[in-house]
Amino acid sequence: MSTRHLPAWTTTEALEPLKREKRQSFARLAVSDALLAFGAITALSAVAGMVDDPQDAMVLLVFAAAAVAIGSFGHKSLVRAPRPPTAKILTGLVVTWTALVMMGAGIYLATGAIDTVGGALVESAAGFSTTALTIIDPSRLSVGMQLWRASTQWFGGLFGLLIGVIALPQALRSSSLIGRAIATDQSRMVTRPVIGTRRVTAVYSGFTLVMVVAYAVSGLSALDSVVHALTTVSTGGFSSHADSFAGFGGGPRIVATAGMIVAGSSFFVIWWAIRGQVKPLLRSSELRIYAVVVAVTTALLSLPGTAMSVGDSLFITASTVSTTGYAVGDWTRMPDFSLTVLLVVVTMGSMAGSAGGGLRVLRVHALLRSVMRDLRLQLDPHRVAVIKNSGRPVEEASIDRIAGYQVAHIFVAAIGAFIISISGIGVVDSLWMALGTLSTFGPAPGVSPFGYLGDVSPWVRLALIPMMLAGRLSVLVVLLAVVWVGGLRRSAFAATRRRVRAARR
Amino acid sequence: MTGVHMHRDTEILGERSKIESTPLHIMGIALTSVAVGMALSAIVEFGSTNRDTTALVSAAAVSAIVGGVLWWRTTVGVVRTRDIFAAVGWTWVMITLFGSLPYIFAGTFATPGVGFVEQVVNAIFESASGYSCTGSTVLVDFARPGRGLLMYRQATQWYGGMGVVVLAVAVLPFLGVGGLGLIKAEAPGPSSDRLSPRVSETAKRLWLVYFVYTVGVALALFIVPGPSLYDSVAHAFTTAATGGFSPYPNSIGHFNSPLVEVVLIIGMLIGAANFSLHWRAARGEPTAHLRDSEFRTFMGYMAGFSLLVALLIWSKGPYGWATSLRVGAFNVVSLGTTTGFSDATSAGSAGNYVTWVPSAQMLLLFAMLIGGSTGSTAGGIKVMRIQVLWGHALRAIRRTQHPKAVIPVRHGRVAVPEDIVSGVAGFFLLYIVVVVVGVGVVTGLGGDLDASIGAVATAMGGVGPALGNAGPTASFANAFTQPARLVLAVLMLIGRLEILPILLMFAGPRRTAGKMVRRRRLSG
Repeated sequence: MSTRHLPAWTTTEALEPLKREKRQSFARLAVSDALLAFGAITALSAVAGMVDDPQDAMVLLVFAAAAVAIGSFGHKSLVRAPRPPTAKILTGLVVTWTALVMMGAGIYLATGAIDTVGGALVESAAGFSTTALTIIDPSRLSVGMQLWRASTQWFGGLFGLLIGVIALPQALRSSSLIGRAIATDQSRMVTRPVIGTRRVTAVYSGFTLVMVVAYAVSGLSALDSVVHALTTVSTGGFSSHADSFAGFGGGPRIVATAGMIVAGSSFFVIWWAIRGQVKPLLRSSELRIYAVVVAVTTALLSLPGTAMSVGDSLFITASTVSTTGYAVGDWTRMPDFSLTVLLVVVTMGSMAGSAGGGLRVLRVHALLRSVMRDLRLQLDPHRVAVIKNSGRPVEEASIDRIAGYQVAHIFVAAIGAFIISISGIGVVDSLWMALGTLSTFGPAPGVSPFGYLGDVSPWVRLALIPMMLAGRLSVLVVLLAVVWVGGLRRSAFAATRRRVRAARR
Repeated sequence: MTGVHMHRDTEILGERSKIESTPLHIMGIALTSVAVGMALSAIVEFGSTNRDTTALVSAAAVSAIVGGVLWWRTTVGVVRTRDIFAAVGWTWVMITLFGSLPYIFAGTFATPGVGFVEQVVNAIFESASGYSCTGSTVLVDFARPGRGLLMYRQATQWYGGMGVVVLAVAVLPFLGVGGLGLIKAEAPGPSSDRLSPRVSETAKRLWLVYFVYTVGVALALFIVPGPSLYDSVAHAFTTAATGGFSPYPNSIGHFNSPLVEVVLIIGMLIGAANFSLHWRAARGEPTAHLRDSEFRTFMGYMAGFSLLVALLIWSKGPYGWATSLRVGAFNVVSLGTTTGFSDATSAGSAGNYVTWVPSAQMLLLFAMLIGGSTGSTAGGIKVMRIQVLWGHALRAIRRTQHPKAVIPVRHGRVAVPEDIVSGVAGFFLLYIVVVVVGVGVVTGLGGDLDASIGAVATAMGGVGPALGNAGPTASFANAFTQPARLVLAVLMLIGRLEILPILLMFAGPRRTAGKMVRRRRLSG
């Protein structure tokens, strides 16, 4: 239709200034996107649980509607900033995660599943951070709430995956924490953020469906199959039973073991496997090391004297290396040697580009190679030695940043362990809990073998929330957000001081 | 003239007949000096209890003969990097092994039910704990060894504090760059200050400061009521070395005196501060300490941790504020300076930190890992390294925001060179790896996880008492199996030498052996 006969104010040019009035914001738009998706999964849970408990379902529907309304309003009133600075992207991620946790806590409180604000926040944070810590007996929840609780982990896993595969590489200029060569490999699959998001979501959803079918075939009920599939692919670890997998037979355990190992591997590995690309799979040194870690840990756990079968050892290994947190029994009664091995594996965590947590196999490998190089350089200072990953050199700048990241991770774990120990939890248990939470694993020996935090002091539970956040979004992201907010406050103070001085003059 | 020529010719012939090996030469000097310590202790033993005189004399004779032969039959050659690690690593292994001879000869660990192999393992553990200034002990019956042997036990820590290789460098007339490498390889910290353009003069000055400081602590202890002359000298040895051995089973709790504890706190803090600062202060630079960023941070963290620990003990009761502050400050300084003295009068007393709240124990564990200053006798990761690591972590955060920014890591006002920064990060990771592997091995050999983490941290940091059932009033003999004790002894040497010399000490001999095989093949 021609615009010649229309009033001047209806032309595209005339509307431009009005469009420009939309505020540019990365963080708020990210929150809006997240709330829209959150609303969708909450609505699905409500529909599925309508027959079992209509009251819970109604609450879920109200929250879903509220989330969609806020999300839609955000989308209408905001436009994405064309190239937001790194700090704003990372702060946006922290704000989004916090908004999701608060919304989730509201659902726990409104349904009466949890009656304290602190408890609801912890449960919600554990869900969205994919940490297997809980303060409730899940078997007492309605069907709708069980599904919704599991889907918070599913959503948290997807959120973590999108951050790891798309947001962080963009924000950190692609190569800082993994090396340029690996980043180049990945950029072939994530050519643009939209395509990357689609591919990641498709693979993640497909994997979930496969797990639902596999669990159902292995003998689990429909509800158990869906709940465990949602929390397996996300490496979350929530279960519909208080004793996790202890009550299940061999079939579901085998399916869970396989699922956790796949979930702990990289999204790119799954992508290559789906596409039948064998060459990059064989070339990936991270995948080889991941396989070796699984094999060696299983062998160490099933050594004579540890009183564990190979099957159970493999299950626990898969649960720790992928940072899922499922249990087949009170694993915390294992010998101290086994616990030490598991602590190392939990701290290292899964592969980079997976939904799991931890320092990541890729980074630990690069750091160990760098240590070996330093040792050789001591004997031969003029030697030129390049650290390689998957046959490609890793730049010195990346090694330097990975080392800085590792130092920050250890400092945060130490501070966290001290805070936990103030409640009276023992030294070793506090260290376990801090490292386990930072890796989004969860259960800790002597405190919560099945991830139950009911006996832990309420303020320790609250102290775990920032650690879950750091575990999910990476320690550096959270610290940078803190630094950035601190910087804003400083500049605000400086501006106020300037104004006061100007007024005095 | 002819006489001079003849003398020179004889000298040249004599030198030619010697084996050119810096590691063996250094080892010879070190073993001879250890023998001197044993002989002096034998005199003390002869003049007091006279039970273990023969054992000490025999051990001194064996060490002197082996050390003397090595010193006499070898000469210093070109000092290459691998020779430095071989010299330092093997010397420490040998003095640990020869240092265990007095205990073996005296049958110090020959208690009912303990076989000969376990006696040897215990003797090696005690010797390693002594020379590495750790202070962990497997001695259960303190009444069994004579006073001379106990004084020898104290003296092992004094030797180890400044380092036998530094002593050897002080004795050797000329070593050049290699000598500085030897000092660096043995001295704690990422860098070591030269107190003089000449390396041997630097070593002499370090020993002079160390000697004067030890005498000062001994005098101070002797002046306050409680310790005898024997006690003062014995504890001065292990205070200056930040070692922690005591001739009494209750350690400093034996005196139960706040005055003694105050003297020792000051002594330990001086021992854990950089010795080059002491030298500069003595040379007329009174503000040298205050101007040093590491010293300020070290004192700050000691004070902060002391107050925090005291607050945590007090908050949970049943001890009052004064007792909490007293035991809190003493134990933080004792473990933070990696000395390892204990002021527990009994297992249930306020000074036994394993009975404290977990958060206070956690701070003590951190203090054990952090340790003292560089260039001091203290162990641990060192305050300067922690400062650099902190800067490194902050830089990683800032670079996330500004990827191309040039951000130097600063120590005080000085920008730390990048090779030192990467070296410190590498050392930290290596330290963590060794601790993790150590805990895995010790728990695999039957150790309790609580005690194993504490024991490995204490062995690597050169502290002494650990956590759990290996606390300040317990013996490692009851807490760990025989193989685990041997592993801990190795970890003590690894920690004392800051990992590299022990890991790389095989490189020199391996290459030399390879060359010899190749030469033989060629000549054959």
